[in-house]
Amino acid sequence: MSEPTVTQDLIQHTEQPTEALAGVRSNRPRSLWRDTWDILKRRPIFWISLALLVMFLLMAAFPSLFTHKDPSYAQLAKGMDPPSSEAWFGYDLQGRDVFARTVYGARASIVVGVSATLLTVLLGGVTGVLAAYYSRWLDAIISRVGEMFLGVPYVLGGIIILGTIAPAQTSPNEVMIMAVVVLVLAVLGWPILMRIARSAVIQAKHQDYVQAARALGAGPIRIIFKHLLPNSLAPILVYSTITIGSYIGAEATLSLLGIGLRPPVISWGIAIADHTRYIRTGAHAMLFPALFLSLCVLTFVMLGEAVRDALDPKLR
Amino acid sequence: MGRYAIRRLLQLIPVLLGTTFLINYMVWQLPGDPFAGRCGQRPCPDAYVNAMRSQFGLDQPVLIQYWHFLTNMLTGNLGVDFNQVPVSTTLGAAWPITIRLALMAVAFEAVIGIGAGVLSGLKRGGFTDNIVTISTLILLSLPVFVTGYLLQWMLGVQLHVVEPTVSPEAPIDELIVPALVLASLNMAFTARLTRTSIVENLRADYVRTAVAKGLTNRRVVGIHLLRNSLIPVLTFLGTEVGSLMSGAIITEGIFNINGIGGILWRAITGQDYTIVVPVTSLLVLVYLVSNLLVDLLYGVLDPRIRYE
Amino acid sequence: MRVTKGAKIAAGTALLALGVAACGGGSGGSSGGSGGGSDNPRAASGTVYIRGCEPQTGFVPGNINETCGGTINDFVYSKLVKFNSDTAAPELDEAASIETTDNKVWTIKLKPGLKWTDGSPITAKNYVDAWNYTAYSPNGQIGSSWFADIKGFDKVNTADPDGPEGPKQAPQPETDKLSGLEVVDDLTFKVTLNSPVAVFRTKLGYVTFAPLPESFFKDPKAFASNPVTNGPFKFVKWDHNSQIIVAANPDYAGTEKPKVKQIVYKMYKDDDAAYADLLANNLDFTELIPPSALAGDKWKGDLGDRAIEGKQGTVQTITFPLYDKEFGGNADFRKAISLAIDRKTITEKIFNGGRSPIAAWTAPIVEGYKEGTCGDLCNYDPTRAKDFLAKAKAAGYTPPKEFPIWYNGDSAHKEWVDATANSINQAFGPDAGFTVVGKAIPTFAEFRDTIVQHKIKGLFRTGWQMDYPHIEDFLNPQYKTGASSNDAAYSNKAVDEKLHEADTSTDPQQAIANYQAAETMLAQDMPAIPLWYYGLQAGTSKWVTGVKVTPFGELDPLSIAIKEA
Repeated sequence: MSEPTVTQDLIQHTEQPTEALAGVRSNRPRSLWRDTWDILKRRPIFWISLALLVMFLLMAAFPSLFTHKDPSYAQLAKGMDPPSSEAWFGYDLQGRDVFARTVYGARASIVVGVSATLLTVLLGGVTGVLAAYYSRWLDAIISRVGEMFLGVPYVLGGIIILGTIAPAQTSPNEVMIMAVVVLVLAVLGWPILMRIARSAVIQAKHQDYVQAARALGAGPIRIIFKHLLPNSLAPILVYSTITIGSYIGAEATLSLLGIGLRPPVISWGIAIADHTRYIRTGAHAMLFPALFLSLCVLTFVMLGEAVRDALDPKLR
Repeated sequence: MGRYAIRRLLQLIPVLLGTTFLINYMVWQLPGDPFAGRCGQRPCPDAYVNAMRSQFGLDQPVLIQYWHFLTNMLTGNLGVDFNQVPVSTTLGAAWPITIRLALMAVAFEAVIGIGAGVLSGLKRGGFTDNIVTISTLILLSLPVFVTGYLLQWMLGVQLHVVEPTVSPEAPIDELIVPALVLASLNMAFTARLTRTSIVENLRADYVRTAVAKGLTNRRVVGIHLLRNSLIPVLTFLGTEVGSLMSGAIITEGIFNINGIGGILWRAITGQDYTIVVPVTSLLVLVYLVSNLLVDLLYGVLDPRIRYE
Repeated sequence: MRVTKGAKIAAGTALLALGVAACGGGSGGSSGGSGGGSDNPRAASGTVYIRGCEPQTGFVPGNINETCGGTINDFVYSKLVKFNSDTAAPELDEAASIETTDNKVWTIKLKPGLKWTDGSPITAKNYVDAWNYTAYSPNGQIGSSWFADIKGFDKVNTADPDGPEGPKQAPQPETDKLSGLEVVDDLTFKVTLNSPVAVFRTKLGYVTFAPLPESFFKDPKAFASNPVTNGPFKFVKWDHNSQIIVAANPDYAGTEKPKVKQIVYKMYKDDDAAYADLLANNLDFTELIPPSALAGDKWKGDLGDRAIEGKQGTVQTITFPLYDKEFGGNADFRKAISLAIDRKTITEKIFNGGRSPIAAWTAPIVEGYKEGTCGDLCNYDPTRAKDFLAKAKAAGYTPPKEFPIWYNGDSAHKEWVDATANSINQAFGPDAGFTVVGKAIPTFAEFRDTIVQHKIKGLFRTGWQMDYPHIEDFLNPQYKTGASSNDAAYSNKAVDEKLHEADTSTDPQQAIANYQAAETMLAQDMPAIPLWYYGLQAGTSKWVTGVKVTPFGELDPLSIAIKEA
């Protein structure tokens, strides 16, 4: 590509969204959320991702709508049989229907991935914004505590948290198991998000309009919510949408140690982890759950992208 | 800036004290007796358990044990681990390899991740962008074991263009494939973060100004756009250096690299605090230093950011 | 094997295009097309590379009890007795004769002219000193209890009155010499046992019974990492977590001499890594073929005639906590569970035939093994399983709603435990009133601790790897009342009596008959359910030949040889 074309591209790209916005700018009162919705509803990618999300949520809530098979029924004799008309996705190592397990696995995977991410964002976002906004000693304390948490190895932290809340010998129910895993992931994962949020806010804080708002006497809450947050949302949102995916995968690594999700819970992570060692003979048992995981993350990534675009104050 | 750096370095002391105590306490809290599992299905003789416990001070309260640890650490004497091997020997062999591997992984992450991010950000919605998005999602959903195993199998066993495993000295050329595998997951994050920043900053006034001034593309992207877009990416990379060191357990296993990840994992399951505590202290040190470097870089990348 | 670089790359691109499919389908192709012939890289150095792992303890035979250390120690230490690699039968090694009339007093004569690697002669005193050192409790050696049969053990080894947890200290032993050990002359010593032990001769092949040279006692700690030894190989160097190198011992007096100059015991963390190196001919031997290669018998295609199959003296069982009212069940319930496990399908599907179903508590390769001591109670029979369950319930036992099978999460047990649980659940059907689930305890340490303290709530996995190839080793430690590894807390007077009768029989055949009788009695109570025994899957590179594997699943270091040009 020759250079001038790219330059034009750069400009075109910057122009395009503004044109798209032209129609939206009616004479309605200018509410951030109202504007956002107006922009969102015009974007096909938003509707596609929303449709996918609804499908995944349906799958999580009512798995029996998608399959009539029992995901726990094991016919060992059929173990690792490849996909066929009888079982679309084949059978896993224990001879269970991979399609049924993938459908039933959506619930735990999505619940754990999303709630662990939400908790991480809450912990990391709040601490990061505070650290960046107040800086000095509060920043020092939050940052150093974060570094201490980063230093704790996952395995060690996981075993301790599990041992304290739900010792191996007790029989925790599904909700409890999921709660513990969410806690492990969030407690050990928040410092990274804190650092990212902090960096974004630090960058935003030094922008002219924030300085101006401050000079005009705006209070910290107003500055944070009206100016800093909307301007630093992008990296947080991007990091967290991918985190959902990596948490669904991490849950599986934890379950290898007996500290992650475990039966009776069914999840994509467990299905993937259980079959990684069999890729030479039965890749299907791992690839189908992995495919669903990818698709699910794609949904969140697209949705996150659409929302972020709509929220972005630079567009208005 | 200088005073800020010094203040940050001074904060090392309480953080290290806190971490070592926390980790000591946590290892102590691990359920099970570290010497009960050492004799397989036969119970260990009481005399053996007693001798080991008194050698390692497990018969003393946590605080006293911690005090011993601190004094030993300050005098540079790390003692021996539960296998009676000097801790300094074990760590001395593994650290250089781990540092090499982690730095290479970070370099791959930075180069490939940022590169892919910039390309997809500049042509948003284009072909490159979609390819990058799809490949990041694939990397994300496949466990490291699978990517590592496939690469080892293809390149090492079938084609024999590289050795399937890394030799004990772990030279740089043998670490290329493992570093790529180790970096694969984080590459996804780096690429997405870069892409977002680029997309954001493309709309910024200074880019328009730069373009309007007639600057070449390379200058616009390289100097103005990239520089301002790097802060979140660098922040992320900074937090990852440490976890690439401790979290390389699976990559180290596949390529048989004698690194910190595997040693730490074995020490945790064996409740060997003599290894866990020094390793985690070193890791915290790595986090502190890399985060400090990143924080100082903020000022370089965006001159508006100042530290008092 | 001399492929030019260009050709390699061309072949490479073609394979890359095939992608994952090439990966799955690729067989021994990469290693084929070569006779191993003239350019054998091993020939020049005489060095072979075998798979190893980092030992937990150093080179002190009385302080070892795990395989990583055990394997390499067997290379460098010779004992009085060794086990034949083909038949597992005990044979004299350093001993010229081991004689007894009553199985209680044993006279052991050493072969003359045996030497340590430092040149000093091997004497009866070396044996007696080593055994005394290990048995003496203040030395804190792991193997001390192996000498409990010898007279005077209670005088040199005192127990902690309240266990290691308690505040009390173990009293200082009266003496540091076993009164049952007596040096007669340089090459002869006499061992007196507390009571007759029929298998004592066989036990002498266990690593703990190795001798130690004078130099050990001057500085035991330094010795552990730089030993003077008496085996076919001698210690050269140990790079922790990386490799141990041993070299052929030129003074080794055995009839069969080492055929290689050096063995590098290369440490691997992951079986897949070792296997990849084996296929690339960087590693010459591994005794652990990973599941990824076992699945679908891929490894046989990969290795061709370099695949080695065999049997090992390891039996997998699941054990009931008989001390626990809720999970101990009654005999009928335990039999019902046993009948509900489809061992054949599990071993075929999960282990790809790498393990074989067993209907006995003893491994088939050991002396005294009798087939089917468990009878048809160890065969899969859902109908009879339901009958037994009904009987168990009629007798007043109600199993809890959730019945776990526990395993340690830090090694690969999940697959078979889950399969076993599924098998039981499906045999009983949905109206059994209880479900069996596999559950992990994160680490082996915590797992064993929970079992030893009798706190485990449910079935748990147990496995017995023989110390020496004799039926006695499977029964006494596990099923005698109060025995050291009786995890079920099983106690049956009749079994105890039968075992005692066997221990004290002077006629070896009579002893074995009694052990078998005791084993058959276990079927009435079913304290532990036998599942399968371990097969052996090993492989070699194309550079070596003649490789034999011992019944312990280790390389026989004397067998391995480099292929001639």
